[in-house]
Amino acid sequence: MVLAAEALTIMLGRKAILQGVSLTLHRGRFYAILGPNGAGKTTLLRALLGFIKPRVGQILINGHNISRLSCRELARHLALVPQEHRGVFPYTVREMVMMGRNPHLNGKCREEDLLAVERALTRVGLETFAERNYLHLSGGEKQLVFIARALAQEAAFLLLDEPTSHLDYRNQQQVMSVIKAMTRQGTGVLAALHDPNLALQYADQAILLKGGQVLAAGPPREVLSAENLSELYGIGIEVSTAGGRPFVLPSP
Amino acid sequence: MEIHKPWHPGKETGYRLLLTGVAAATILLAFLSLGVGRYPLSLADLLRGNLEDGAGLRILFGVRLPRIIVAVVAGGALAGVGCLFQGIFRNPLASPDVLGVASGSSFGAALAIVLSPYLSLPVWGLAFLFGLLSVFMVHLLAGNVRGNQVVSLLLSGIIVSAFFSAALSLLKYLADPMEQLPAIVFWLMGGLHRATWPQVLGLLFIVLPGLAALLALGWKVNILSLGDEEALSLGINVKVLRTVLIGLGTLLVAACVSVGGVIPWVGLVVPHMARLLVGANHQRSLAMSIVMGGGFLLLVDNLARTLTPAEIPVGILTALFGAPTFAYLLIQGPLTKGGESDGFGS
Amino acid sequence: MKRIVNRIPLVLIFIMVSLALFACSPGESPGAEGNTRVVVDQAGRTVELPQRVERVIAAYQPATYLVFALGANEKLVGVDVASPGLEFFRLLHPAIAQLPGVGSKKGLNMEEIAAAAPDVVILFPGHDSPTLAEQLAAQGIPSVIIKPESPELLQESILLLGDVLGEEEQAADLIAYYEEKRAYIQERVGGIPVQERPRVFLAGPDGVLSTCSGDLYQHYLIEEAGGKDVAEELSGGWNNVSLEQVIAWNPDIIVTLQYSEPGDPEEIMADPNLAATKAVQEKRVYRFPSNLGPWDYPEPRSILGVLWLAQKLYPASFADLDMEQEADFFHEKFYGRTFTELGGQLDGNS
Repeated sequence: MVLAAEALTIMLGRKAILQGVSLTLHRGRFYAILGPNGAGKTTLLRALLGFIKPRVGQILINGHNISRLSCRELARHLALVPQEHRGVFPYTVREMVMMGRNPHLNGKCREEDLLAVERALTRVGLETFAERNYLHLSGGEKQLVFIARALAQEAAFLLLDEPTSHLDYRNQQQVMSVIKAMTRQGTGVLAALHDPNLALQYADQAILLKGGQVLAAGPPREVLSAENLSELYGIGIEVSTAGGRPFVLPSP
Repeated sequence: MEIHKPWHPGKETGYRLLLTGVAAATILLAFLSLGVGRYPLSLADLLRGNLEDGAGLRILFGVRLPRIIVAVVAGGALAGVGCLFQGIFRNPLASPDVLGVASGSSFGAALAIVLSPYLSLPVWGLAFLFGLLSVFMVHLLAGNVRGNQVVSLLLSGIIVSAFFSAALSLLKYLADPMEQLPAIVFWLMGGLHRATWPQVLGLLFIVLPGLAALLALGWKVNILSLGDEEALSLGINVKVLRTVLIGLGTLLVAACVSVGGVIPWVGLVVPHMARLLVGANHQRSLAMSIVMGGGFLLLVDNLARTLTPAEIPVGILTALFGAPTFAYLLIQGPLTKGGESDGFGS
Repeated sequence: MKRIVNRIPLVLIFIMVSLALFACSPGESPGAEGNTRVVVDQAGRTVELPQRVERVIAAYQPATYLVFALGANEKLVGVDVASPGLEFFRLLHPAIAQLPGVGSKKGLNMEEIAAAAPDVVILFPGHDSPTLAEQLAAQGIPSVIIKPESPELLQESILLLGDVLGEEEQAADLIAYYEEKRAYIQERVGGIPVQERPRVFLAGPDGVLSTCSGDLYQHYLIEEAGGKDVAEELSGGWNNVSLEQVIAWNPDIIVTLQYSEPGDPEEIMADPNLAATKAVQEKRVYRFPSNLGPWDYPEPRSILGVLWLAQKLYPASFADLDMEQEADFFHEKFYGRTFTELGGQLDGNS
């Protein structure tokens, strides 16, 4: 299963938010998109999910243009963990995760749907939270609920928009390792990240987006060079290693 | 991998018991209401068959029975749609009138009354028509607005409501003060005594299938309540579903308003009470809202027709009961420690 | 056995529907042939009534006033909500305090009416009235709609109800008195051209900031008394007007009603804002009688109101009119006790 963007151009009025962006994403790999605010990361994700129609170019799943697919069909291939979620109703964690089964549901819940929900809850470690009000959970736990929901969706690809932005350090690591584990189970992951270090630690591929265009793409250690990063963020950035593992710091 | 047993049987059965209990209470109340009224015909008389020479029978079938049916059906429909709209618009203050159905219907009714010297149009007919029309206008208006669809709908609802309110004021000004104006004013206050049997049957014809459809879509409302993009990503065609649900809700509300006038508060308060009992899942809260709404309006209407020798417009009583209840819920909600709050946020 | 049990709900539904349809059809005809007669009410409806009407319900206040004026108050078994509390009625017929108030223009309580088993219900004119009449008919109760909205129509109402209630003689007497008094007034002021008629401003329920429009009963009273209503071009019931407008009209006379708030002539004459008007300057500000209920309502006593107003407008032409005597005569003839006996005062406030 391949998710591809071909020469994607998205306009907002006269302004081009994305210009000629092309990507190919495969299952089982972790892709990180990095870039400054306004680079177009969120727009790219929204385009891939079919929320925005591109002015030029197309999004393809296994060669089929997604605009030909219904919402339901698309939802069987792509799952979203939203950046912002303003919840109004206090559903239980189980009910939230069950909503991930929607693209597969046809009327009543079946045994396989219930099992998928249980599996998802277990994989993120939220079994004991199943009957709790999801709005009362901490930031990190809530994020896991959305990931569990995406897991229950059994989609080929998982798209995340800044999944760690509201999380403390520990939760960041926990969430990222859950996501990484998902890729090892065959899910393709595309995450917009704000921290190059996370990309270096977890991603298989890094895509640098600036001003709506792809600056560079490839393995993180190659692409996340001091030069590229400095250009990307417009400040001096240095890359060092500690115990063989690279990390990124702003220039003094 | 170890899989724990999916649903706790207790939770589901608990809900079923509660729902059945409330529904049974409503039906029992309906039965008891047959014996309530200012005419001396009590339940005991009924059961013993003391229906003196036809007068009692006429009261029973001509006055009490249609009212009881309308109260239960309209109460259920209004509460159900209130719950639905609160979910669709993610707003605890949403009521069945949020898109202006009641304003449009009120205008339609007033128009029929004012035109009556020249053109004989049924009040309920025009009320129904304009109720539907107002939401259609909202739909058109919101469709031309870019940006957040939910906000556009709500704002368009405010605009269309305001327009019909102003038009209604104009009609009130033009109406003959002796004969037409009182008729308009009291129609607006709501009253179930106007329902004739053809209207009751018509109401049933629209409301029963409508509520069934609503309940079938309850699950999808949950997802819709998460937000447009999240719902899309979960496979819900947001535009289509929302249009269908709003259309359905509007049809139900317009039918209720055209038969019973404007009855406020039922659609606003009852869903909150329902959610307190069964939680936020719309499959459950819709069902509970419907049975509670029916019982609530029936109770209030029994009072409306028996408290004093004259008829108290039922809309006044629902407001009298509804407002303090809502205040109570408001106070209780956020102060509830742990556990579910009333069903909105935390 | 199970099949029979399963069929029971169906049978019940069938029975219910049949009974419902039965209930929909117009009620059974009241009594055997020859026992009924037919009248045409003021809404043009042909109504079948029993030969003798012994039990009457008056569904709104003007109807109650008419029933009293026709001397048929003993036949009342139900009235509108406000009447049991009215002093005038209680003085004449104390039992009224116990009668059920079955409704008003706001709506009727069907069950309460049915419980009182009336021979006829007198209904108000209104958009809903035909529907209410139908609902009553479905319960086997005939109703007549009256429309006493102008002096001519009031006379029609009197005749109609006289017929309905079997008080034709009293009705004829009332009409005769009416005609006599109208002729009396016309004789003295009928010839005065419109421009010379005193200009009258009638203050409504909101005091001087409101007035009646050209289509209200009060307007006709002014005309009948030989006055010119400054607000006759207005329409739509009671209208709110600004002080400026009142001053611009510069009425010769200002009349307030018993239920004008504020309505005290002293207060109005002391009001500096109105000092510019002729009425205040000449101290011709009066309050419409009486303390036993307003005489400006569309009911029989309004003829007294017209007489009173005519005298105020043309004191010279009506110097021979003794209002108190006239009021006493009227009340004694049609209500059984004189105005003074009942505690009536022409310039008292109710």
